[in-house]
Amino acid sequence: MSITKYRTLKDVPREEFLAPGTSLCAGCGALLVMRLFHKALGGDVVWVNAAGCITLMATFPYTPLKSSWFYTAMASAPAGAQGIRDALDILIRKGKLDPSENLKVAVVTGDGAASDIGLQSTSGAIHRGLDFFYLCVDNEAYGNTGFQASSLSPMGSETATTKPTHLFPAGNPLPKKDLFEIWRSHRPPYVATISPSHAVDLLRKVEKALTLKGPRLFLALCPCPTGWGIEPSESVKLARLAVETGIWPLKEAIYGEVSHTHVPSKRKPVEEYLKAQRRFAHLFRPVKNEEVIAEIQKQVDDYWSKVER
Amino acid sequence: MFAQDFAIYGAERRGAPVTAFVRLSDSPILERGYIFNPGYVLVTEPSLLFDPTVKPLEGMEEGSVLFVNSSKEVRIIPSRRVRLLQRDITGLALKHIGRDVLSAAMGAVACKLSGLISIRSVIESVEEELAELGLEQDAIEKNVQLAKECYFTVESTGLRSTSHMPPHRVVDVQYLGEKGVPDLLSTGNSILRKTGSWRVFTPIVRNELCTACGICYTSCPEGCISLDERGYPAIDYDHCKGCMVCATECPRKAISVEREAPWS
Repeated sequence: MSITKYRTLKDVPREEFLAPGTSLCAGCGALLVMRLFHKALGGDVVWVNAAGCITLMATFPYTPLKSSWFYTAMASAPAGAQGIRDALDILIRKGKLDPSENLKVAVVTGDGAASDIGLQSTSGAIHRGLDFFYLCVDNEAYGNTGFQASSLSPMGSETATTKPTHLFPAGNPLPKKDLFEIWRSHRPPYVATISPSHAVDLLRKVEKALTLKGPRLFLALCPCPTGWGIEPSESVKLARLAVETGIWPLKEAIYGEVSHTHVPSKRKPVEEYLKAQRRFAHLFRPVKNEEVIAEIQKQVDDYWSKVER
Repeated sequence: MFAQDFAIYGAERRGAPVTAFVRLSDSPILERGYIFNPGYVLVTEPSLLFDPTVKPLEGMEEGSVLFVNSSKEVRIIPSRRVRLLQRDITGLALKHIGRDVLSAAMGAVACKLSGLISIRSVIESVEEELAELGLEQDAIEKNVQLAKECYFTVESTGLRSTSHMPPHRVVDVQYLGEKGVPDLLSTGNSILRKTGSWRVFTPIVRNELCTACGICYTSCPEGCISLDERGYPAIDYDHCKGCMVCATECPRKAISVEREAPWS
């Protein structure tokens, strides 16, 4: 284990790269992740964004960012990142840009762009070994357009397009894609999951990624008060519950080698996490759907039985 | 009766100020576009009264009615003879629903003011629209009770009919200060937008309980909390949206949640 400068919350960098005054929801988990991530990444960054809630963070003419911002179509943020990386490299090579003014290139998209619409361009960028960061702020649906299901929406959740009906009483019948494993299968230098509830873990992972070169990808669970049906005040609490129940494992993979950075000593039942959110309310009322809740618990138990072995 | 309703659609999220219009007529409404000379203006939050990007008082004419949701006396000097009414609708919402959800309440107020819409229609609409949103029966019932109390505590002012003059101008686009003008190099200029007006409850740090652990600072999504040299937090109330993550996360319960800030 390399030496880290982030040991406790006292070590969270004080410099802010995001000003307040955004039009994002009160209690937005994605905004908190962006804020912490940026602190560890530093200010010399070009963000490349694909359409999503985070796009509205920088609504012209106002931007909270003290770094640069490049907005692309939903499918092509990693392609945009390639263009910027190439331009910077060429300018430096030609002597037109001082290497001290070099910038990092970081993609930030939601789960829809990451797992559905922009998956091919991400795969291409990782395959080509593009030197960039990718931060996926995963609120488990298309939040920007009214919370329609994405392929990162969890099984059993209600979204605008997976309402519980008599045919599908459990809401979303499809499982959450394992984007961590999809990314990892390309064997990039660094892939990690992060959570806004575990700030030190988050900062350390960015710190580690900064020592590597090539594609470095982060999947962040971002509680969404509006879409999940929780109070804005509960967003960090829910992110923590996701970790404590084992639903959201905190892990990293360096050149494909997986290790867990936090193994909950005694996992809380998933029911605690589900019950706290309106998007799972149909699993508890009017009749408790024991079968689906047990299935979700089983998937979590199966996952951890392989880790703990 | 014929009605039109529409809103200015923006990128804002839950909790942000919005502008919405209703046009009522006893004949079919052919007019389109924003309303520039309203007969009624309902303001859901007094801090919006003088917000330069909203300007709710603009275009009010003699005989117009201004309704403000406020727990304290609102003082404005209207340039024309505008009738001012006010009630603490947020207080009623907290009493009935336990949270600051104002749609059914303000809808009921608007209906009563008009003198045209019966309480029965109000109740039916609240039930129908909230059921469509998937609210549970007890939540709908609370909203109905709230709408009823609002309806009966407000007097009817009657409807002032407006002329059918088409609007002469397009909407003014307001930019705040020189850093708000279209300029690609303006970084961090969102600070010009005072999102503190989103807040209903205010987090207050009680210094005597605070241990300067920094958890509130780390968990504030907006970056509205800064730490002094000894590590004690200070909250930027111009921008705090009142999400209360800080109060939830504080292990010492040193952040209290107040409806009214002591200094206001």
